[in-house]
Amino acid sequence: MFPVLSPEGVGLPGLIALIAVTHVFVAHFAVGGGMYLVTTERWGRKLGRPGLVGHAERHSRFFVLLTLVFGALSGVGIWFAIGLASPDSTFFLIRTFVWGWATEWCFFLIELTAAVVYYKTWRRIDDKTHMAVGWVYALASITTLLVINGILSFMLSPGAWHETKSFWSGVFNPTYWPTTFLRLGVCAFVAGSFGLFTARHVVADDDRRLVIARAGRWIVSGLVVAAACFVWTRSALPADAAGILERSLDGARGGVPLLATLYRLGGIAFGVLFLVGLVCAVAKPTRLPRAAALGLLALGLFGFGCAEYAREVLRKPYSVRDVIYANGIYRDELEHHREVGFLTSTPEAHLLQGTDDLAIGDALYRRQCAVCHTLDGYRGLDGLLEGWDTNRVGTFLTVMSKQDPARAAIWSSMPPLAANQREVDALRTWMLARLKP
Amino acid sequence: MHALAAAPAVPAPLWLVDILHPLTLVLHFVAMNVLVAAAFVLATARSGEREIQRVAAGLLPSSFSMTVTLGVAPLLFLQLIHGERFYASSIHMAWPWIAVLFVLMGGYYAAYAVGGRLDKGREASLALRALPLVALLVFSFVLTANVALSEHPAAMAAMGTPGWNLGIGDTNVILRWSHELVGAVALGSLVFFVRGAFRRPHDADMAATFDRRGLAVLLGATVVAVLLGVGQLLVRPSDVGGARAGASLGMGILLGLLLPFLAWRYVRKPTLRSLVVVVALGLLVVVAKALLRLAIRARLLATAGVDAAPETNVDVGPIVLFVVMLVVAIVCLTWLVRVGLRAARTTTLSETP
Ligand code: HEC
Repeated sequence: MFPVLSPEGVGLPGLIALIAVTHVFVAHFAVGGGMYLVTTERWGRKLGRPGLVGHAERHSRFFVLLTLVFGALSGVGIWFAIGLASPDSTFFLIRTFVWGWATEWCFFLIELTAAVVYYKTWRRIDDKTHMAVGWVYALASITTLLVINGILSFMLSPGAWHETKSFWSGVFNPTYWPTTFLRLGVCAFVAGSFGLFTARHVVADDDRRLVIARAGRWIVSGLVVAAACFVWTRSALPADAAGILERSLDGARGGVPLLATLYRLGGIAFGVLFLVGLVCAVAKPTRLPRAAALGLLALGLFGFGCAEYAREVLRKPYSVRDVIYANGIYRDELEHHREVGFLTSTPEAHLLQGTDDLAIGDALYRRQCAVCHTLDGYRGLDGLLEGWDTNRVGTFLTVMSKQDPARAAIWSSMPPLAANQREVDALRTWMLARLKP
Repeated sequence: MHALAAAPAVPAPLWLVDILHPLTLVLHFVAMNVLVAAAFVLATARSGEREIQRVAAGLLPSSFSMTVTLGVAPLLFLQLIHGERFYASSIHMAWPWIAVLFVLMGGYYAAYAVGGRLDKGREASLALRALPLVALLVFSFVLTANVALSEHPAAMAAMGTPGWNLGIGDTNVILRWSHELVGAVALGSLVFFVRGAFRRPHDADMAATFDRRGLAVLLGATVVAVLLGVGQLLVRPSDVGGARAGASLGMGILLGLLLPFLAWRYVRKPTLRSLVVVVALGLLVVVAKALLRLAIRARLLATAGVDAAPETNVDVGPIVLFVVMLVVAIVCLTWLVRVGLRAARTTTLSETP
């Protein structure tokens, strides 16, 4: 059993979200940006417009700095962070997909080297070779997405893996293809948004016009692909996740209101982005204020954050659906914990010998709740428990400890309580002690 | 007690991991040594030594990215086999462990800033130039402490609330960390010979300057590393007990001491052949270091009574996937490096008056 962290403030979810959302945004930029760069270079050369080639060159400098430094380090950061917050799930994924990760690493190496060579050899090697390097970069980074998405989508919908336990059925799970194309669409619109951002540096007005219009086309087509694939993804979701999404959008009982909010906010952000992209593509303005370009990036990041967050919510209460709960407990072991107790197999087992129920409750909170809750910070229990009484706590704990809330219509985003009667009683004492009089 | 299903079995034969782990660790060490040496030279260059600063600053960004990316694979294999202990030690020192990433990022951007100033014909302040080295010192210390803690399960078990423990669990760690770091400076200094060799055809004086700096750093760092190594042996000889650790230590010492001598000969009479010999020897020392590192871990865990060998359940398909992709990667990387080198050669040529 691993030691557990239970920070207050933004809590573990906040920590993960902070690192993850920015990393994933930049990672999609790295994938889309590779394509954007090399196709821009080719386009400029074909039209015989050095201004456009210059745009690709300038963009590549910005690109290397952002993706290689921030992308690589925040990628390691996210790995560190999930290892801290969810060591069991991380360990499970490392073991199950070690050769997937190792394959991913091969393409990271190609990607990194190609990016550096591409950036450093402008006008130092012949055009054809330079573009070939660009293509190697673009293809390698797309491949990294193909590999990693096998693992990400597996967590949402393991599908046949439950029966086969095979690497391949894990990777090619029911949502693999729809989410892969969805992400590729996202890559395109993120790359387009960054293209708008660096378009300011194009000197000649007519060149700049072309760049802006093209970036607009990338945004529009990326969003169209993403939207279509989103519908496809919805139809491929496991039944219970699809049910939660539907109930949430209908505002029905058993839905997660947060999901509906994320859905709408993300929709608005992408809608605005789409319109701006469309205006750029059709009206072909010669310039775009810096603030507007920055605003678009921020909007993209925001919409993106909503979408990734929604994906996390949809996966709740699991980190790997039907295998491991978000708090690291294997579903297969639930019954065992309910029979013989949960803390018995932890370093806190000695508490069970004593009579300090508050300490037992606290240990349970840290091990089973703190991965999603804090006490009075993000999703703080003190706040959530406001207005609760002994009865309500009793009902809550009965539902949580007797059944599988994932199958129930209420509290469905929480893992079932893995505890025997003694521990449930201790947790009750602990929760009651937290109620404000 | 009912045996709880821990993580799934390792889907590979352990011998394969035993090959890939040291192999990838060596690659990571090579990039890391260049990185640390470049940061050291950048921080210690005198003001006015523009060319030295420029070369050192120029090496930093790519060796930095390479070190990070090449580090992913050994970290993967470490977690694959030692996940139980490594996640636990990371959680014990969670906040420093997360914070060092931001420190690293700061160091990286400082390297860029130094390069940018030099490009504009200005010189960066000493504080800015030293920042990458400071960031690396901080990062490597926390990393060493974390890995060391993961090798001392008893120390972990005795720790209190997780999060802020920079508990090292082992007094030898400070010596080990500083020895490894200074050794990295010594080995990484060879990169200045390589840069000198590229310069030689059109600027023999500058090439000689690079060579002399490389040699000075190599000699100085080797002396310090030897002292720290001896200290380490005196403090805890048992760490390097056993045939595997003993053999790699012996190899490291022998070759490590041969290296300054051959380097000195190279600087006196620089030929391509002797450069290749020096670099190859440096590489062998890195191999010895990587093997020693893994042998020490195996020994510490065995002493602690940990059975570190996980269950395996070999699945051939994904291994084949990886091997094929590794070959693809090697082909692509070879081509890319050749393109890069060709460009480097033509540029320096066109830069000559
Ligand atoms: C997988 C994440 C997760 C875990 C683990 C988790 N919860 Fe929750 N919990 C949630 C979410 C999401 C909500 C809904 C919060 C909201 O509406 O803001 C929630 C709501 C609650 C509420 C308020 C319910 C209501 O009807 O308003 C309570 C009480 C609660 N959790 C207690 C716990 C306890 C006790 C544990 C540990 C045994 C726990 N939770 C573990 C995610 C989790």
